[in-house]
This record gives sequence, C-alpha cells and structure tokens, in this order.
Amino acid sequence: MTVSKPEEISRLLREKKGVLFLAGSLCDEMELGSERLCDYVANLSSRINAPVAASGNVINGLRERGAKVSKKAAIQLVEMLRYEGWRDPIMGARPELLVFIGFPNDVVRALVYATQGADTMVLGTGAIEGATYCLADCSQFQLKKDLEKVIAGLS
Amino acid sequence: MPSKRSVRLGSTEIELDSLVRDSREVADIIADDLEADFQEARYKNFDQKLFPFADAADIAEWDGYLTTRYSPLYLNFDAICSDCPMGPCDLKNTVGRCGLGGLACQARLSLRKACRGCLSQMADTRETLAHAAKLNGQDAQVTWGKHHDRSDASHIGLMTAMWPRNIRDLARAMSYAEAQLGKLLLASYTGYESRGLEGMALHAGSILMVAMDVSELLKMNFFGFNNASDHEMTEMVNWPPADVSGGLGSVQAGKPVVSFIGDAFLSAWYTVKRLKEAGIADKVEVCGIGSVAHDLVRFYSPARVLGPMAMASKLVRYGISDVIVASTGCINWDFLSDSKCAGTKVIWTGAGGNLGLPDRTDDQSESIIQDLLEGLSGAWVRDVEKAAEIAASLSSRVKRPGKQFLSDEQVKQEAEKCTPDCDLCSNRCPNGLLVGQALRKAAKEGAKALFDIEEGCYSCGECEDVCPQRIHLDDLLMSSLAAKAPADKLKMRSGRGPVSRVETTSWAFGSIMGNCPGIFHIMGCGDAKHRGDLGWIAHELVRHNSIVFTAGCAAGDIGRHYSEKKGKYIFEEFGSEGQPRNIMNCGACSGCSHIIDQALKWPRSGSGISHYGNFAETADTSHNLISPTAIVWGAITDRMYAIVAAWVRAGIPVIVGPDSGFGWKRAMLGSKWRWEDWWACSVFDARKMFVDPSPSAMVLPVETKEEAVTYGMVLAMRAADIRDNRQIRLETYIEFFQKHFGEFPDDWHLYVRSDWELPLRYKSRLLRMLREDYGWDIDRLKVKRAKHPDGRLLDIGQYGKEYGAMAFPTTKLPRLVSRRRTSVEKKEEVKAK
Repeated sequence: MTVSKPEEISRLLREKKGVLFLAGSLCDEMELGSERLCDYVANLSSRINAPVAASGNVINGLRERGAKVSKKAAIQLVEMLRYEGWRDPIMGARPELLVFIGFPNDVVRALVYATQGADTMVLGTGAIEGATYCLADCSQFQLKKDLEKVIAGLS
Repeated sequence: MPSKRSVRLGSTEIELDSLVRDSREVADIIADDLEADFQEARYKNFDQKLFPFADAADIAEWDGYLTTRYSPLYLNFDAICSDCPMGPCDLKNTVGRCGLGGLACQARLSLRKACRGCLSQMADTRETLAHAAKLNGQDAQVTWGKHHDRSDASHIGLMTAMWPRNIRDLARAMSYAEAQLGKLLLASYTGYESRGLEGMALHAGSILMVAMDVSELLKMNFFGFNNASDHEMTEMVNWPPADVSGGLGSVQAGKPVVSFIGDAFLSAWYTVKRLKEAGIADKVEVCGIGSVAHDLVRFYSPARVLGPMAMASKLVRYGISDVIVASTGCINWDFLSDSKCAGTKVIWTGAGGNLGLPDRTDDQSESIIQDLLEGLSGAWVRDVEKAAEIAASLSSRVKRPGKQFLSDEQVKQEAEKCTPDCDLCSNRCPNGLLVGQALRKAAKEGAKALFDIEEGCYSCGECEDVCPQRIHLDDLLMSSLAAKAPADKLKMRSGRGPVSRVETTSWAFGSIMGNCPGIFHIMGCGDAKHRGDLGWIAHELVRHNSIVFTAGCAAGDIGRHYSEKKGKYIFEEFGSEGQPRNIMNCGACSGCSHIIDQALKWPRSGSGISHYGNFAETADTSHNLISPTAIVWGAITDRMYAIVAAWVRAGIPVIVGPDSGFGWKRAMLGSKWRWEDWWACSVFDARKMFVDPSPSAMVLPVETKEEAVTYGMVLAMRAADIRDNRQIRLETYIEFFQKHFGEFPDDWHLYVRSDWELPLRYKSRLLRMLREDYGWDIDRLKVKRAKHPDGRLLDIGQYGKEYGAMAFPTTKLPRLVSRRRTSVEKKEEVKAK
C-alpha cells in the first residue's frame, strides 16, 4: 500500500492508461459540504474521460451529473480480472487501474483484495491495506479537500 | 432376520451391492428406499450410486463441478497460519513449513467458518433430542405430516438415505451429522487442496440441514409446533393466519415481560406451559429475540417477535424485559452487562458455556428467585423446566427501575461535541454507517437524525471506543431507538413448517409455463443497513408474481412491511399457499430446512429421481432445471455462511448483502462473458452443449436491495428454461433494471435463444438492439440469423441447436449420461448391421 498525496493521485490518474472508476453506494450517501461524493466522481472521471462502473444504485445520480457510466455489480468486474484478456463491454481493453470510490471500508478492502492483475486506487476516508494507491485515513471534511486538490491537479 | 441383499423392482433384480459401496449395516435402509421410492427405469438407464450416511468425498463429484465452474473468489486473506506446531507461518508469498499454500489456507478458514456456523444449531438439536427422548422414549413415532410421503425430499433422506420413523432414527441421523462435523473440523486443520476443502465447506451446510430437519421433526411431533403438512391444502391460502404481532411498539405497557433469546426454545415452551397452567398467560407478555422468537410463535401465537438476533444487544439495553431467559445462539455476546444496565434479570440455560454466572441448577427454585429479587443479576440454570418455573414466577415479582433515555435537547448537546474533521467513528463502523455525518446533523435536528444509522447499528460499540470526544454514542442511538419504539410494529404469520411435494407440484404450471418469474428464498440475520430492506425485497418480488419463502429472523423483518395504500402488512396483503404471488414463512432458523427440502423435491416430481442417499443427482437435476434463487440480506453470522453453503450445494444461487456479504470469506462467480466456460452435457449422448450463463454466480455479493432483486432475477434463469419461462424472467429482469438503474442490462442478449423469448412489451426495441448493437440479422419481428458468442452468424434454427439447452435434459456429472441409446444411434447400429 502506498499512501499518496492528492497531487500524486492526480499525476497517476493523468498518466495511467485504461483507468476504470468503480463507484459504490456511499457516492449517494456521503455529503461533502454542500455536495455529494457523486459530484466528485462525475467530475474526476470526466476530466480524464474514464468510464465509471456504478455499483449499488449510484448510476442514477452519476448519469444526472453527466458521467460516462454503466451499471455493474462491482464484484463481477473484479471477477473478470481473474482471467487473461478482457471482455466486459464497459471498456475495450483490460483496465490497468481500478479506482474505487464510495465504498465502505470493509467492502472496498474485500474488492481490493480480490482484484488481480490491475493496480488499485482507493479514494475514500480509509487507507486500505492491499490497495496499490490510496489516500490517508481522514475525515469527510479532509476527503473533500483532498478530492478538490486531485481535481485541481487534473485541470 | 438377515438383511436383504437384493430387491426386485419390476422385472429387475437389483443387487444392493451394485448401488452402494458397502451395504453392511445399511442394507435394510437401502432395500426400504428401493421398494418405496425407486424407479426401475432409472436403475437400468443410469449409473446409479447411492451414498447412505455420505461423507464429503462421496459427493465430491458434484462439489468439484461447483467449485470449478464457480471458482471461489476470496475476499480477504489471512496470511498467518498457526494450525500446526511448526507455525506460525506467513503464507503471503510462500508456502508454509508444512507445505500449505495461501489459497488452501483460505479454504481451510472457509471450512472452519462453515463448521462454526453449524455448532450452536447442532448443540441445540442434540439438547432437544435428548429432552424429547426423556419425555417420550426412543420408540416414539415421528412423522413429517399426513401429506408427506416417501417421495418428499429431506436432508435426512439425502444424506443418510433414512426415512425417519421414530426418535431412535433421528438420533442416528444426528449422530451421523455430529460425526461428519468432527471429520470436517479435522479436515480444516489437515487439508491441503483448496477446492476439496471448499467442497467440504459445502458439505458442512448439508450437515447443518440434517440437524435442522431433526430439530423440526422433534418440534412438530413432540412440542406442538405448526405443521402445514397436517392441514388441508385448501386452508393454506390463509394458514397460519397473519395474527402474530411484534416489534417494540406491540408490547403492552404495564404487563410483566419475559423475553427469550438464542436458539433453545425448550425453556420458552415450559414457561408458556406454566403460565397457561397458572391461568396467567394473558397477564404476561412473552417475547422472543432471534431464532427462538420464531419458534415461540409456532406454538403460542400471542407471543411477540421483538427483532432479529443482530438487534439483540440493543433490545436488551432498551430494557423492555423484566426477565430474560437465554441460551447460545447465532450471535453471542456478554449480554449480562447489557441486562444489568437495564435492571433485567437473566436466567442462562445454555449448556455450552456460561456468562460467569453461578451454576444454580441444583438449587431450589424459590431460593434462586429470592436471590434474584434481592439483587443477584442472573443465574445459570441448566434445567429448562426449572428455568421456566423461575421465569414464570419471577416475571411478575421483579421491580425494575424504568429506563431513562436522553431527551432531544440532551441528544443535541451530546452530538454537539462532535468535531467536523474526525469521522473515526464512520471509518471504524463494521456496517459502513456514516456515523459522524449523522451526528453532525443530530446536533441540529435531534434524535430523528440518527434514525437511519440506528437501524443499521448492531451495537458493537466500535464508534464509541474510538471517539476522541468520548461522545456517548450508545446513549444517543438508544434514544433514537426509544423515539421510534412506539411505531415499531410488525405483523406476520407464524412458521408453517414443511411444504409437501403435493403442494410443491401444485405450482408447477404457474412457475414453469405461466407468468411467475421465479421462486425466491429470503433469509437474513437483521444486520442490513435499513430495517425496511427485507420487507421491500419480499414485496417487490411477491407483487411481481414470484413465489417467496422465508424463515428465521428475516421473516420478522419482512413482517414490518406495511402498505399505507392497502392498510395491510405484507403477510396480510398476500396469501400463504404454494402459488405465485404468495409468501410462505416456514419457521425459525431451523425452518430453513423446509425451504431447501421443498426446493429439492422437483427432481422426484419431474424426473422420477429418488433422493435417498442420492444428493449429487438430485442437486444436479434441480440446478439444471428449476432451482430457485436465494437472497440473504444481512448475512453477518457464521450460521448464515453454513446455510448458504447448503443452498449452493443444492445448486441454488445466492445473493448476499449488503455490506456483510462482502465481509465473507469468499464469493463464487463465473464470468458471463466467457461463453466457452458455460456448457452442459446432454444426458442422452454426453454431447457438450454451450449454453447461456445461467446461473452466472452461486454466491454474489451486492450492495443495495435494488441490486438484490434485479440480480436475483437474472440468477433465476436456467439453461433448460422453456421459452415461456425465459420470456417472463427476461421481462422482469429488464423491467427491474430499467426501473432501478434507468437502462437496459448489458447482458440481456446472452439469454435470448429465440425471438419467442423476447418480452412483447419490449420486443420491437429489443429486436432493433439485436440488429444494431449485437449484429443479429432481423427481418421485421423475426430473428433470421443470430450471433453466437463465438462470433458466427447462425441461422436461428442452427443457433438454437448450438446455443442453449431449452427444455433439454442435461447434466454436469458424466456418470449421469444415459446408458440408453438414442434413436439416431439405434438407426446407425441397424445400418451397420
């Protein structure tokens, strides 16, 4: 696990090819000031033109915010990475980096552990052991600031 | 009298040794099975093998299919192994000193978790068995009920080949189950091969079902529990009546309250008996928490179901009970400290451990009562009859101080201590609750801002432990619970018990050829984030014409669903017979065995397959043709892990969630996009047939209730679905997907094998999508050529032959390919001659 600063996260998102966002149910629930986590996911993904796989019910909020989003069960995408190649229609080639955002810590820990053959990045309030990259343990207040810095780094 | 060595069926003399490995000691059982339920044609046409008192290895051919097709996907990794004296070893990047690899270590832990899940239920069944034998003698007769006959499947039959007739038979079945559990626990420390170990984890599930069958037979035969099989099918639409009330708001103020917690119902049974004998039953509120609540209402409908086991800690601290009688259950915690703070007296009856209470089993009841009245917080009384005597007497004599909760102003003041830049509570919550966010709202809005997180909280106390401001989160959450308590009500049917094959068969037409999209089994432990989820899931499925079964704590939570529009609770709104658009409650946790047993009756009804000692063939046939889907919502306990193992082993796919489903050791999925992985074997000629990916998973964790019903619907599909059946499933799958997620699913086309299967209301749109998005050749409302997943464009007739197995008998077990020659083979033989 590498705990990364927001600037480093921005650099990685800019440089990595084949980034796939996986958005979990907290995207709808987590309030960051006057916005929801959903707003940040839509913003982040659109800045690097990366597709978003929406788990839970978050597809509706993300679609409203203009994200390039498809409904997926997170575990099914992770399962696809067990095999060589890539066939899920959400993207043409195997993703190199899965960005998990909006999952409770225990859920994302499980998904990260099960991911094989791709780097993982967790953008949340918990530093997740096993993730290739993640933000440090923080409050929602701090997460808002960090995400704003990540977005600024993608401008 | 010497045992039979052979049995004549029709024109065939069947040697018992041709069917079983070693018929000594089981010859009479097998001969009895053959004469009562076996078909000559199956013996002649298939390589039949029966496995009485089966070991895990006897069913490994089937388990091997499941663990290969749905290869376990581990969701956490325990790297340190301390299983042997050479350890501990770190298996993260290497094998241990004994040669154990990391994967096998995870499989060992999975097996151990499944075994742990069996323990409390099996211990309780053994206690019940001993008690029933003490009261009635070993020769006391048992029956499944008057509508059950030899063709009715049960796990006792599947795993032991016995048709139990008396308590002695049940004792034999139970001894078998206990011996198997011992072997499995041993394997969880000595096994080296991960798939084999995972197969054994599935076996643990089957063993648990044997124990549950034994438990249910004892309860129905000797303790007056409801048994639907003793009632006429015409009664079933409203039987048992929806007259059981529950929830905190249902408990009458002013009456003494005795509550029961855990698995053991015997103390509750004796307490009710004593209250009735004393003529004071209507003056005492008898309540239950967890499994025992659902046992209670099967013999005493005025009892109250307070809530699921995951809520037990909160319900004890809420302080509604004057006396609690408790035993081990699926969730155990030190509730003595919880009961002390509520001023509730505890009588612990569990034989498998105590709470640090003095063992007063041999003391005079009155002396124990006096000590409890004078300040003793609890007593350990292993004799259930004595425990009942004490509980019945004590309930009306305890003077319990009323519990005080924080006022709304006090809630605001306490919540104001929360600092915005912290959220340690949210980060530590095992149920993923945004505790800090809710607290900050509570500082402005009071207790109502905590309503949501209170529902998902199971009182582990992590949030309070880590709070740097030392906020009394527990007090805040209890105030929230108290604010909602008057409105916390449920209405349900008590558990009906078993479902006979006659009743199962009665819905065959509706479920196979009619407009019933599926059969669903809903279970759970009550740890979902929202208490209303289970009721919503059940309502959504029943109103879409599904057949829904439930049991255990899930039934109570489902009973909370209330339709404002209709002014009815869900069990009042829908019938309870085995038909589409009905919901059946089968009982407490042990009642789960009725659900799975009825699901395994189809192979006997549809294909004449006797289930006795014949698990693999029964599960294979059920899985290929018509197995239902299970939804386990709130899956926190090890017992639920073992229950799900039983379901998977029976070929039934299971959705687990919400968060606790990801906390499991493993998921079991296949990839729907890897078409070459999805095949079945023709039973006629062993031809490998490529089929649609149905079901695409056996254990699928999801996050939300909307995902649960939607993915539950796609998992209801089977490769052998006939087109009417496929059409309604596809239609409901698409409808759910559109309604909840606003788009078409990306995989719907994988389930289309003919244009007849396209739902009428979507047909023109789907045809257009098939042409434009998937490259099919469409002529108006007809598919001319379809795209095989391998890329070939095939004439629709050829496509049907090369993709799917519509209404076609298939198997996953090479042994079960028919010996009978096909008509084509016969013609070729004639030609050759």
